[in-house]
Amino acid sequence: MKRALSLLVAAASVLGMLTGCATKLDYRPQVQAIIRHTEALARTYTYKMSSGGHTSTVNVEIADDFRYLATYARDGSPEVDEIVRDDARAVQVHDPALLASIKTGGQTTAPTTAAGTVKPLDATVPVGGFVAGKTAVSPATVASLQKGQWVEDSSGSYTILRPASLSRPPTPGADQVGDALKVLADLDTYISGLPDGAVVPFNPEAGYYFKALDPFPRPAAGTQRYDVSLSPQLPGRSAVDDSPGQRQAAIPLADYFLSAAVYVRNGVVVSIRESANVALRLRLPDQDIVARLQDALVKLPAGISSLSPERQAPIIDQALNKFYAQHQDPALVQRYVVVDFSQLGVQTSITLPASPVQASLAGIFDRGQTLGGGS
Amino acid sequence: MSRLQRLAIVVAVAMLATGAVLIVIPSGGSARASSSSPSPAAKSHATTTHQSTGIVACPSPYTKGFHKAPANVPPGCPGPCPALSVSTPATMGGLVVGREDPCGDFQSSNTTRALDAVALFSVREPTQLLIATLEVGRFSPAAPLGDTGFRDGVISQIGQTTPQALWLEGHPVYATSSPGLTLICWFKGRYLFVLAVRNNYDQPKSILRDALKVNP
Repeated sequence: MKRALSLLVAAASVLGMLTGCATKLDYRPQVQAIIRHTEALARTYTYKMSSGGHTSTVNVEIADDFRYLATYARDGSPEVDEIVRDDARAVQVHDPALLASIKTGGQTTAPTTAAGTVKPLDATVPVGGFVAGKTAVSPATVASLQKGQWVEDSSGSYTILRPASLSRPPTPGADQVGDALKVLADLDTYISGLPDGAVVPFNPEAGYYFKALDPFPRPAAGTQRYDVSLSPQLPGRSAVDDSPGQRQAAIPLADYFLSAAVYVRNGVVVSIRESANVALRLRLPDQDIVARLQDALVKLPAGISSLSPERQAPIIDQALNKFYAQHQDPALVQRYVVVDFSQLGVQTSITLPASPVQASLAGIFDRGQTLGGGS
Repeated sequence: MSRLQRLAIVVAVAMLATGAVLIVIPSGGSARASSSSPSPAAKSHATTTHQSTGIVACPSPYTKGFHKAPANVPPGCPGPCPALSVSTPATMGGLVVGREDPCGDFQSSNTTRALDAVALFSVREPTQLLIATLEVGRFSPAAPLGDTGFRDGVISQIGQTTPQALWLEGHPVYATSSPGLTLICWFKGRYLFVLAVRNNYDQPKSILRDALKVNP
């Protein structure tokens, strides 16, 4: 009897390995708890995103959810620095081109008010990322920023509640500083939306692991790596009925192309790698991205099916983004992100710049309360 | 003008019957009427009229078995509302801190409250315009503070929006809102702190920083 049971177990294991269907436990709560624990700590880190031939680097120091410093550079050239200390926010722009899209008007002098005032209730905090805000801003403020001066708004960060609609920016890369500041929160949110089994410990011996689908480095000794959505599965294409709506719904959203690796040491996140890569997903068997697009009558070049995943990828990227734009879905931005933490739990002092120009920063890279806000 | 008139605390007595935490906040209505340069009338209104968020009722499973409220009620309190002794700084966020009567209209025959003592402070501009209130409550010995479900139950009943967790100086605080107000609450030992700030006041975080330093 025992022998028969052993044989049965062995056979089941072999079958699981052959079919790639080894049992995957749900590690989402465990990894989310580690992410949230790390969010509670003072931390310093570098966020580096490579996309479209450019590399953006944001160095971040966070004392707590009300105090941080971020310096953003693109391809090695400094772009902007930002300091938030409680209610105050200070900005220094190194690249005046960043200000080109900001509409000025309304006031000819910097419309700052003394700290400790009650604002009119119709004063709204413009949000929407690291781009020109929705509020026309003072020409004097913009002039000071164009000169490379620090501009400080004593109440430039006074909102405490995080806007619910900004849990994830609509376009990754549009707000590099925001992306960097929220990297842990966004990863947490992303994991929350994944199905059971989408977060697993890195195990190159496991039946579910495919080396060809893994863009991330192996963990160092003493570090545990958790893989997030490394090989997601779409619902079978054959289950999609013939209606145009169903066929369009069978096309995956941009998040499908995203995968991540979370590196954990001593119970905290020490590194994150993130990849949004079309070619990697095209390598997944049985996903039929090209066929799904064709099912939904998305125009693709003839003969695309015979191309390699690498050659298909830019075509698919373009077709998908056109499709997403038509359906008002978030855009797909192919990218590779490296986040390395240091000084975890070590208190850092965030101080405002000396002798800044005092002016309102309403409408200047204003994203409201950025950190925290989880439930 | 009596102290009670200056700070009218409205308590929903009916809710106290289930066991309750008293939360008192400045009026959202008067904040709504103010502007960046509040008119004298608006300021006057704001200093004389306050409105309570009412009550945060504790989840009923946790209210059972709480100790009975003490029979010896401090003078000036019309019901079983023992005042709590709390030391605060003279100012918070540069504004003047004043001690207020936490009892006000606090009248209840309820004997199973989650809090057994409360203290109330006002945070005012030099003009007396009320900007914020800080309420400190001490949980009764039977309150299961080690139970995250209990804490979540308390937090979820403060304000009218889903609480957002924030980490400040290594401790979690929970922010929510009700019309015209931002509410922030946190636990410290057996104490619950609730800071209510006008949502159009532009230095709320500075007040919160100082409020976090308050120790009962």
